[in-house]
Amino acid sequence: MLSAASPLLYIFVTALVTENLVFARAIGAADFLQRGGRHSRIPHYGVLLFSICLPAVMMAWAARHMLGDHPLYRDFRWLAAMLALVVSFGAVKLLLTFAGIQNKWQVGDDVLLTVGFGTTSLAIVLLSLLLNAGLLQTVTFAAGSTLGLTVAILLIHSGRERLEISQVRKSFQGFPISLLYLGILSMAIYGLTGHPLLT
Amino acid sequence: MKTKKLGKHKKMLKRTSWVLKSNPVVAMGLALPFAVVPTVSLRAGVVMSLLVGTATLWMALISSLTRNWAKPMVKLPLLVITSMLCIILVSKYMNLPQSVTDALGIYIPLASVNSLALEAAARSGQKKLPAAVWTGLKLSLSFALTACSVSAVREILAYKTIWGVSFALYPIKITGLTLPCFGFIVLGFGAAFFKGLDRWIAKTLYQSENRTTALKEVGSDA
Repeated sequence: MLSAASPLLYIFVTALVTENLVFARAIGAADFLQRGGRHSRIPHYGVLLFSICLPAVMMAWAARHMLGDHPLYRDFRWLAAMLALVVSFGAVKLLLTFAGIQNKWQVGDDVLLTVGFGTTSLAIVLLSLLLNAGLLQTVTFAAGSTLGLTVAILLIHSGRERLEISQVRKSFQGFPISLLYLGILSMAIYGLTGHPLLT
Repeated sequence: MKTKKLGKHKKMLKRTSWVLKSNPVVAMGLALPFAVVPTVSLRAGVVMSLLVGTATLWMALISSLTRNWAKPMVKLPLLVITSMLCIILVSKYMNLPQSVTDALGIYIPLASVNSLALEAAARSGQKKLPAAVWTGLKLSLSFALTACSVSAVREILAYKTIWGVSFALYPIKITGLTLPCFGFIVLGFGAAFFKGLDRWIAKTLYQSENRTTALKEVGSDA
């Protein structure tokens, strides 16, 4: 069982750490660098993102599996991923509204739209498809990416709070020092591996 | 206490705030991934600016045109789908060189949902067409300025070239600058530099104006 699970574990850890969306690709950092907010909101953001991206990844994978060789799909594969995201977002919105979770978590429509149609969600779908692997591996990569993003945002948020109460030169206060902090964290993650990225 | 020169300086800064002081990339963190990661050469920076600008202008235009008849829940999916179509058509017919396509990778389709374009759509939602187009243009130009500056610096320091032409003014090549972490660091130092420059100019103008006034007063007393 362990030998069957180890390729999946490798994919999960790769998505979580070495190909982390924030530190390796700078995707998803800006939302929290500028907006800030409470720590407690970040896991909600992660769960929302996962619930929107997972069905979208599965639909996009199915579309690629069925239409991959069609010349029209090759030209418009990005649009197919986007359409999968739109359908998934619609389904999640209906579910959140009927289950009352949107009111319980106090998630506004604007936040939901940003999560659903931001760079982050589309990046997770496209990167998962880039693996050119089976459904289970693709979904595992998407799960690892989402968790990696959530953990990275928690780290950035904690770091920003500490920087706000530290003595920093006036020119570096605010956004510049946050960017430097992000760059150094990203360098530390890169130092673990040092490998070329799939683009 | 005189602040005439300082007032003139602040007025001038206000006119150019959309590209300098309130630059959406450096001051608000919009479209950060597009300015930090794929900008490893000036060519890539220019192409990225073109793609981000296309999506931004398109979103501003369509958002303004649909301001009276679409709710946000319907409008935004429509905007992102049409923006993606736009990016696909532009990238297909631009005949990009392979080196640039490899450098940009998934940032090409991601340009259709970049945060700058979403911001342009939000700002243009209540504006008429000319104002919306101007908003889109301002945001696109400010991104282009940032992305091209960062990419030029990184290409010069990492490859000792500019637009593929040799620019060997110094012996060291720092190829590590093409890594994403150094994109953050270059942008961070750039943002701090311009913030510090603005403060230094304001301080110098204020001191020169008030030193002249103080000297005149001392001279008249004597």
